Amino acid sequence: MGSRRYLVRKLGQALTTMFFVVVFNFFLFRIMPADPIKLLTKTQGLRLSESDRAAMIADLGLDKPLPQQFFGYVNDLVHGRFGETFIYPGQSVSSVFLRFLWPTLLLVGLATLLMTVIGLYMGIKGGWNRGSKGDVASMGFSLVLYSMPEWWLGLMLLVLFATILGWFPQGGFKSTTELTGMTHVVDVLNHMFLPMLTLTLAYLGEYYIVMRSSLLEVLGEDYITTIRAKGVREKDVLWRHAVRNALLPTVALVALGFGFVIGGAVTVELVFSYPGLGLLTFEALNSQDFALLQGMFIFFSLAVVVANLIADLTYGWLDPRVRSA
Amino acid sequence: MTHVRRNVALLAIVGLLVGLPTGLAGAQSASPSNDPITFTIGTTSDIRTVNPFRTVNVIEGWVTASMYDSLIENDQETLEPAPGLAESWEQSDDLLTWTFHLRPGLMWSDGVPLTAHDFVWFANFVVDHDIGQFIDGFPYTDSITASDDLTIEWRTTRPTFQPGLPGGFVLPEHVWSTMSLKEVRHYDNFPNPVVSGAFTLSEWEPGQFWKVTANPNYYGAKPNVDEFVWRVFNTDEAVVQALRRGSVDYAEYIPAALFNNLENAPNVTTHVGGAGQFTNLNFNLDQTDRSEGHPALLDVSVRQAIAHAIDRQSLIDKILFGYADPGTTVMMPAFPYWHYEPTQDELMNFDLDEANRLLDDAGYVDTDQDGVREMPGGGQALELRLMTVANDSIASKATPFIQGWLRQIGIKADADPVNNDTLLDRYYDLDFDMYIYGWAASPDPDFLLSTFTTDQCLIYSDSCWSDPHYDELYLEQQKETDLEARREIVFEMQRYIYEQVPEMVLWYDRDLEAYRSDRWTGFVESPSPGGYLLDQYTMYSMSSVRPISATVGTAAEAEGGIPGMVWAAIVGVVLLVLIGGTVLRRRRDEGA
Repeated sequence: MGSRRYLVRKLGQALTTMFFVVVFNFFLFRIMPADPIKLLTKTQGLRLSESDRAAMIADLGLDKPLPQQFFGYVNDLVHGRFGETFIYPGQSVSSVFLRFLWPTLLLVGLATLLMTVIGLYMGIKGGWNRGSKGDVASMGFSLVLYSMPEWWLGLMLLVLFATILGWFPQGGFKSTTELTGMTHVVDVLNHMFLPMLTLTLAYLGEYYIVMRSSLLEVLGEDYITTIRAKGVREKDVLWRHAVRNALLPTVALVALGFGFVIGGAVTVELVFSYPGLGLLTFEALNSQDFALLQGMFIFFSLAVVVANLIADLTYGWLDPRVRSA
Repeated sequence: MTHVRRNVALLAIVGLLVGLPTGLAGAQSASPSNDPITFTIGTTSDIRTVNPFRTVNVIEGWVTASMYDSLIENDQETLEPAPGLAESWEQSDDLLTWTFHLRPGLMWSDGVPLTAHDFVWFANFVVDHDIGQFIDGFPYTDSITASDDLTIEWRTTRPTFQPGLPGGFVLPEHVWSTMSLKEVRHYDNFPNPVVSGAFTLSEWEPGQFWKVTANPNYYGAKPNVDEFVWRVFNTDEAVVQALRRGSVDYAEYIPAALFNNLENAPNVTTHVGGAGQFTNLNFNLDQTDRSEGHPALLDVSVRQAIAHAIDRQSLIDKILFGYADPGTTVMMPAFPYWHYEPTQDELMNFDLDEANRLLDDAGYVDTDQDGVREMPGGGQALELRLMTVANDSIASKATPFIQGWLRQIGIKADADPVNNDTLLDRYYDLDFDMYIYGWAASPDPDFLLSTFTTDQCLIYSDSCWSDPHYDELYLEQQKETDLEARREIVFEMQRYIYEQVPEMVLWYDRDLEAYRSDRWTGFVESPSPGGYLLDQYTMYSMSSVRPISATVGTAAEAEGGIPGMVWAAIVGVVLLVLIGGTVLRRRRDEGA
């Protein structure tokens, strides 16, 4: 019973947040100082008469009163209509968006997996063997990487591994020659390796530090002393009793991190000419493609809200106390 | 016993994981020997559309030019009009009709014959809908008709010069004519565009690369290269690194600093290409109430003083490493037939004393002794905003130099960096004093010269200059049908613009190009001498460039990366360590 109410409450919160995002997203773009007709026609070599202009405004629905525009916009959203981009003339926002989504999902997904697994493992080892040589080295290593701007780290890796050593391609998502099957997979892996390494190294420290301090906190608690006194083996103390509790704060970190890294990959994607959402955002901002930006904002918000929801639900699953709270 | 069995199972899984991709990779990598010959171009600009009604940027122009031939093309050496889809053309005795004769047997890439009717449809569509990009190619049109499949007649209400690009562009009627104007503007034109040119767009991954392959139905010579690939990078540095590594074969518009470093790179040949663009300093010359410009700029002596106060050569030396030519008139030197070079008397050389004298004589005096001159009779100080595109690093670097020189003649210039769209918005609102921008032009001077006419204010005019004498000259050159006589008028127009300074050409940009000389040869410079190696006004080099030897690898194969086998091995080792470690520990724990 408790869990169902918890689920419903969390879902409700997520939906409410999304509603505010949708409202905000509508008004944000209405208060922009740019004239949409000017933006649309500037790049088209169109010579507009006054009646053409009026027709275009009517076509865009901008002659209607604001509340009516708002309901039209919500209606379009519900039906998945995000309008047309003008950086790619004639193409819909969703088609352009989906094309750039996959590379980012692949890159950010794999990088998040790697940084989480490696970071948490290093954190557990470091916290368990606090003050050991390995702990001090990991701490220094991850702090240095974490404090580096990721584009700079990326640039260094690019110069070393792509230009000097020539082990990996200079950038892009895949080769321009037609490849199929496993060769295609290997080709994509090769192109993705350096940006993935950059993201992993840059964010590793965050997981390491949070996991390490969380574990240290748990290890100081009374119940750990109790189970040790009961004679539980050290390995089980760590993995069965300490780590399980210490993982809780990192769940939020992983979930939020995923939502955040999609946007945060902008600079890495730029350095590696990687055709993902970060690059698309950059292009859309540069050319004031409001329709595209509006669609992407909705998606980015949705990603964070969903990640939050997953974090909340995982919390409840990991720690039954949360559900009844 | 159970442990042993488990270990065997694990090893089998690891073995599978290691072996599977390796085997597949091995099977796939045996490439056939008839690989297409691919030439890869590194670029920082992406194409957004190949619909000729929607193309905007220079790179889109290059791609559509490779896809669509015009009635009239440009001569390789001189850029003078040369036969394209039309093999000949002539003007009637009353000078009111141009007749074009198409080559017989022309075909679109889908096999449908290309006839005079295609052109007639396209031209009438442009004229009927007043399509900004193409309409200037059809001045004073009375009618455009086809007298038969190979003959086009263009009748005008006034005599007019021989039409150049873009008027000779043709689109296939059987593909485009079924659409409304709105549908035409939204047409993707990909995949399977129907084209008339030497190449057609065959693959396109937005944000990554695109590929053009030879059009088998093209009337001209078959290119030596099967496909050209443009690989998109986000930074110029990445393009240059890729060229050094050999993962691209050619790059252009390389920034001067990077270009300097490339000169000693092995297997790379650099080339200082043509000067078909200029960078200019524009003034707000709109005389109406809507203008937010500084009134002093309406005075020609102020503009001439500014022209004398800017040391173009030292800008070129300091910012562009010398890779540009000092600017004078508005037709670029890349078009030697049309470019007018001012005489020694006409030249406005760098001379701060002369600049100060001009301002003194015109009554601009520093009345309040703050180092900045005021308008004649006191009042508004000569404080001018100098707008630049913030991410245009060259304009940003030029700004402090210009500020310094202007300060020495009592003009205060405030740096005003904005993004490109804001610059355009401010231009449309006439809310600027000066800005740095530029033009790239086509060989015929008509379009560029038209941008200085009164009608072009808030369309293509940089400065909203309005001068009845100039407007008259423009119409005269448009009506002049004798080439030499037209050139005289065009010279006079350039001289007049130079003297009146509605804008100031700071320098002619050179296209800095580089290519992999260990792989490629056969580039034909156009125009010649002093022209471009590959990105030309016609397709000469794209047809003639060829690999040095059939066995030399092309860039497309050498994009790099570690082989599938190594990947599989790495994955295998990681799995082995993880699983092996777990197993060992478990065994140790259980043994303990």
